[in-house]
Amino acid sequence: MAEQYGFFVDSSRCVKCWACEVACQQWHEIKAGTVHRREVREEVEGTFPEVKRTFTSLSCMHCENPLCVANCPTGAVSKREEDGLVVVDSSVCIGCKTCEQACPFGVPQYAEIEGEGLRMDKCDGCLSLGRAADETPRCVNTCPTKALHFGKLADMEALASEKGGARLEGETVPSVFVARRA
Amino acid sequence: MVNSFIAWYLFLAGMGAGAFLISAVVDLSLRRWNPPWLESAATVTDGGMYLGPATVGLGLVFLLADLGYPERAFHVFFTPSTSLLTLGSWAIVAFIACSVLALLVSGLLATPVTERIEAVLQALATVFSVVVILYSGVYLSAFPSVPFLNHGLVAVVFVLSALSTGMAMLLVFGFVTRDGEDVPAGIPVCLRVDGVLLAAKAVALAALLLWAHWSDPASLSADALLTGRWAGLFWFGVVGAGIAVPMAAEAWCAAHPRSLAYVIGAGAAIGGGLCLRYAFLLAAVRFSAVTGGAVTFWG
Repeated sequence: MAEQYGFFVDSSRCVKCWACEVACQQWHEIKAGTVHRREVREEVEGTFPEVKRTFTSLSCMHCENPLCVANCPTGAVSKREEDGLVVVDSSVCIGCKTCEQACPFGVPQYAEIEGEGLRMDKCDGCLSLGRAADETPRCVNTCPTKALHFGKLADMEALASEKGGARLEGETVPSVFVARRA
Repeated sequence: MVNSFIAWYLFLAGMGAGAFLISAVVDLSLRRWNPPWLESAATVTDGGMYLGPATVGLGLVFLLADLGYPERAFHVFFTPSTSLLTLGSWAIVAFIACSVLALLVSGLLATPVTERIEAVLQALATVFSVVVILYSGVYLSAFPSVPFLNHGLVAVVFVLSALSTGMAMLLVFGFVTRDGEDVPAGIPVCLRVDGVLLAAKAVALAALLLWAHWSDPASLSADALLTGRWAGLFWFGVVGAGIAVPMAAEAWCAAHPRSLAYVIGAGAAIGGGLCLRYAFLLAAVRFSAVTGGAVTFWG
């Protein structure tokens, strides 16, 4: 593989405006009430008046050792050589939901597409929208507080270390760094 | 993610492959060794030769019905993959093909050549039936995101349940054909084997639930089965119908050799096997590694 790409999520800048989620839904024409490729998660610590809320925008981790790829019986889910992104070839997906069961992050989701039956859906880094190699996904472009970053994993690691962030842990080795609020 | 189609598939494939495996082991044993008790047992277990593939075939229909794109299922056979699903798919198809071919060959004129071909096909079908029985439990236990199922004992329980429901189906076959020569003599032999299978299933089930009860977060599922939301299904279906009733019926039949109560036990064991699949899938909880929270597993 040439070089793994991934995300850096700077929770210290996220204000939970959901612009990333909305951009993703809009650009990919995902109907409301079906799937969410990106979700802003909220963690609450402490009790009033000492409450700390942390918002983290997450989607597919594009893991280095993705279990969804390892367990797909038809090769519909694959990891790209050029950037390590995990993508789905819907034309050979049989809808067995094995990827959904295998993913420790609960990322792949099934949705009933009108006239098409069930389809597995997950973040593809906006490759299906024709994103060029030097562009960033729509969620990153849209984030008004620059809390989301996308690029070579080494660059994401450098950005994260400036903010005291770290790589998300997991046996699949997620390609996502997160800096939490101090 | 899992649903009634999967529960029925697990039940039917396990029961069918279990019935065939028992039947084939008896048949293959008789080729080398023919004590009278084994010959009597064969009059009951022979039903597995055709009931087995038919039941697994029916299970396959449920598996296909669960797919988002059943019409693309053939992709599994043309894609190099080491996934358990690929292994299982090949095993199901190979099992049905070999067992049906063995039946067809056995219907031809008996010559040394056809007998040898039938034996080879039956041996292959036996191997594939073992894979069919094994892989689904191993598959379910392979994913850490579902802690309750992520234990080797799940595969053991599924194997024993496959064999005991398979034997139950053969006992029902024996009941239907009870007027046949040697069938009444074969029933007690099958009941003794079934007693061992049921006892082993009870021990494996108890061991699994004990482990889960003391393991966080698998305890959520164990408690849901033992005392929570699915306790009725577990105690009445899995334990009552699946283990207690057949054991009681077998004990009754041991004391009253002419009794036909075994068929009640066999029917209950079959119902209990279905309840076991439902109970495990309904009680299982899937967790996200990001939030640590539960995400949908059934539905």
